[in-house]
Amino acid sequence: MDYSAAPGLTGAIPAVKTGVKRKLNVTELFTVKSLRVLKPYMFLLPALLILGFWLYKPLINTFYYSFTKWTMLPGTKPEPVGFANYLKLFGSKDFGTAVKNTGFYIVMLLPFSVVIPLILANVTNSMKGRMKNVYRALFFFPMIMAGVSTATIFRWLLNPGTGLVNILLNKTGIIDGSISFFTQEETAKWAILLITGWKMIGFSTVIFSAALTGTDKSYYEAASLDGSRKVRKFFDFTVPLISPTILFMVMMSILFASQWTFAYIDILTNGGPYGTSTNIYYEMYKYGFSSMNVGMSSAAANLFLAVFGVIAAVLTTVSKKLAFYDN
Amino acid sequence: MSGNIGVHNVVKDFGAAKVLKDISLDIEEGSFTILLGPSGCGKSTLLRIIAGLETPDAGFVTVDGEDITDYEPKDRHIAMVFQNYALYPHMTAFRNVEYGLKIRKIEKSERRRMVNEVLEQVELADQAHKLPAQMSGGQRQRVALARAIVKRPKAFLMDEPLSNLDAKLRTQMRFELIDMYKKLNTTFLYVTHDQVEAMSMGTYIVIMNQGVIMQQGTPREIYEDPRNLFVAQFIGSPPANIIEHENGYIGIRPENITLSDTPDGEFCLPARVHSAEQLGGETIYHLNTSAGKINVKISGCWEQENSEPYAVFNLDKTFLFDSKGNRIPDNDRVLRAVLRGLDGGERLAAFSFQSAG
Repeated sequence: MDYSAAPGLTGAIPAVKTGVKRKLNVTELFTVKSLRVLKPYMFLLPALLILGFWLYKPLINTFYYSFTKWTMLPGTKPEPVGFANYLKLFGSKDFGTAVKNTGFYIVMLLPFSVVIPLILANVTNSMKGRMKNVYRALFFFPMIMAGVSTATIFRWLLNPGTGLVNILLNKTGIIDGSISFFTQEETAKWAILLITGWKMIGFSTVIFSAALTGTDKSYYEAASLDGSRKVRKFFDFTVPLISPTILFMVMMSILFASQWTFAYIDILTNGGPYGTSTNIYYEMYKYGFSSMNVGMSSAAANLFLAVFGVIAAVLTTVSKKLAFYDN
Repeated sequence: MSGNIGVHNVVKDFGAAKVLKDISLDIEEGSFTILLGPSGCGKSTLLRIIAGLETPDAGFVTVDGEDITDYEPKDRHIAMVFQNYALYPHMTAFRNVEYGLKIRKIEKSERRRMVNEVLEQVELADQAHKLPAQMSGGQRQRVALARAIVKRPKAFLMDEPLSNLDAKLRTQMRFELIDMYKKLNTTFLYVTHDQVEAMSMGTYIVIMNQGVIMQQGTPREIYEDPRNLFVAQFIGSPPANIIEHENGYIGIRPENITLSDTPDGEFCLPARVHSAEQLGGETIYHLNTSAGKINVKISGCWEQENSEPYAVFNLDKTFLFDSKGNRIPDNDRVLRAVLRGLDGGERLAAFSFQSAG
C-alpha cells in the first residue's frame, strides 16, 4: 500500500481551495482531482483489506467449495460436483436431527437468555444498598468462566457414578440407580441446554440491569398514583421502556444459540448419543474437520448463512416496529 | 370534591440528613397553598410524603381527618403533577390520561368520554393521539394536568410544574393554573422555590427552610409582616434590606425607600449611587450609605439621577428583629435610637451592614 501519497495529497488541496490564480495544467488538474476523490477510500482501505481478507474471501471460497468435493489433503484439489453436496445434505438423517435440535436450542434458550434474566434484573433493581451489586456479581460469575472449565465442572457434577447430582437424587429418593446425563438420549440435549442457559443468565441479567438503571423512576411513581401494581407496572412500563434491549437480547439469543451450545456439545457429548444432542453448527464442524468433507461442510455453512440471514433480517424489521426509544 | 390535608408532627431523615424536623401543617380545603423555600428545604419531600411516594419516619398525614399515612398512593384520592411531568413516553396523550381510569376498570365508553372531556378542558383535544415526545413543553404540561384532573381527586399536588418552561410560557401557564384552580374548586398544594409564583398564585403560603416551617399565612401577611429574617430576605425582589445593630436587625423593603435631593422625610440616610438597574417600569438603585449597601426600588426609569441623594423612609415601614432573627414588636423608641445612631454617625462603629443577597 502506498501511503507516501498522503502528504502530497494534503498539500495539493489548499492550492485549489484558496483559489490560486495560476491556471493548473491538465496533468496537475487530473492529479489533484483524482487524489481528492480517492482520499476517503484511502482512509477506508486498511479496514476494507482486513474485512476482505478475513471475511469476504472465505465467504466466497465457502460458496465455491460447496459445489466441490475436497478433503483438504495435501496434493488434492477441489473437484466440481454441482449440487451433489446440497442434495446429500437434505437426504441425510443426521442433518434433519441437527436442524430440529438447532430449533430446540434456539427456542429453549430464550427463557435463560431473556425471561429469567428479565425477572432477576427487575427484582435486584428494586433492592437497596450493597446487596444489589453482590447479587449481580454472583449472577455474572458464570459468564467469566471459560467454556471448557464450565464443561469440566458439569461433567463432574453430572457424573453417573460419583457426580454430586446423582448422589443427591439418590439420597433424596427421587431416583434409584443413576442417570448418565450425557449418554442417554432423553437427557443429553437437556443437559447441554441447561449448562448453556446457566452461563447465559448472568450475561443477560447484567445487560437488563443496565437498561433498567437508565429508566426514569418518576414513570413508576406516576403509575403508583394511577394505581398500577408491581406486575402491571412490569408489563406496562418496564417491558416497553427497555424493549430495545429485550429485542436485542432475543436477537442475540436466536442467532448465537448454536454457537453458545457448540463448546458443550463438542466436549460433553460429541453430538451424541446417536446425534440426539447435535446441532447444525456442530455438524458443519464435523463435516469439515472430522470427516474432512469440505464440500458438505461448506454446503451446510451456506444453508446456515441463508437461514440465519433471513431470521436476522426479519428480527431487525420486527424490532424496528416494536422497540420504543425514550429520549 | 375538595379535601383538607393535615400534616401532623412529620419527621423524615435521609441517612444523616434531617430533611423534615417535626412538621405540622393544616392545608385548608379548597385553598391554593404554596410550599415555598430554597432547594433542599424539604418541601418536595413533604409533598411526596403526602402523595405516598415516601414514608415518614414519624408523624402522620390526614385527608379530611382520615389518617392516610399507610395508604397506597392510589387510595389517597390525591393527584400529582411532577416536575418533569413523568408522562408515559410510549403512550399517546389520550392513553396517558386514560391509564389511571383503565386500572380502575372504568368501562371503555365512559373512559373515552371522561378523557375527551378533560383533554377538551385543557385545550388538547386535537393533540390526543400524539406521543409526549411530539409535543411542546406547554402541551406536555397540559397533558400532565389532564392526567391529574381526570381522577377527580380531593387535592392536586404539584411539584415545581412550571420550572421546565421558558419565562414567557411560565407566565402564561401561571394564569392558566389560576383559572384551572378557580374552575375545579379543589385543594391545590403547590411546591416552588420561585417567590413570584408563590405570591401570584397562592391563597396561602408556607415558607420552609432546612426542614422547618419559617412562616405561614396569606401572601399579604408574608410580605407585610415577615416573622423572621429568613422570610424578610426570601420574599421581595430585591429582598428586604437588613441592617445589623448591637441588639439585632432592622429590615426595610427596597420599595419602601425613596430618594430625595434634600434631607427630608421621617428618616433619611445620605447615600452615594453605586449602580442602577433600569428595568423599564422601575429602577433598582444600589446605594452605598453610612451603614453599607442598600437597595432602593423606585418606579420610573432613565431619570436624571443625583449621584449623592438621600435615602428616605418612614419608621412604620420597617421591621425589627432580635439577635436570633425573630421578629419583635415594632418599637418606635428602639428604631429611633438605632437609626439616629446611623444618621448621626456617632454610633456608626457599632453598626455593620448585612447584604440581603
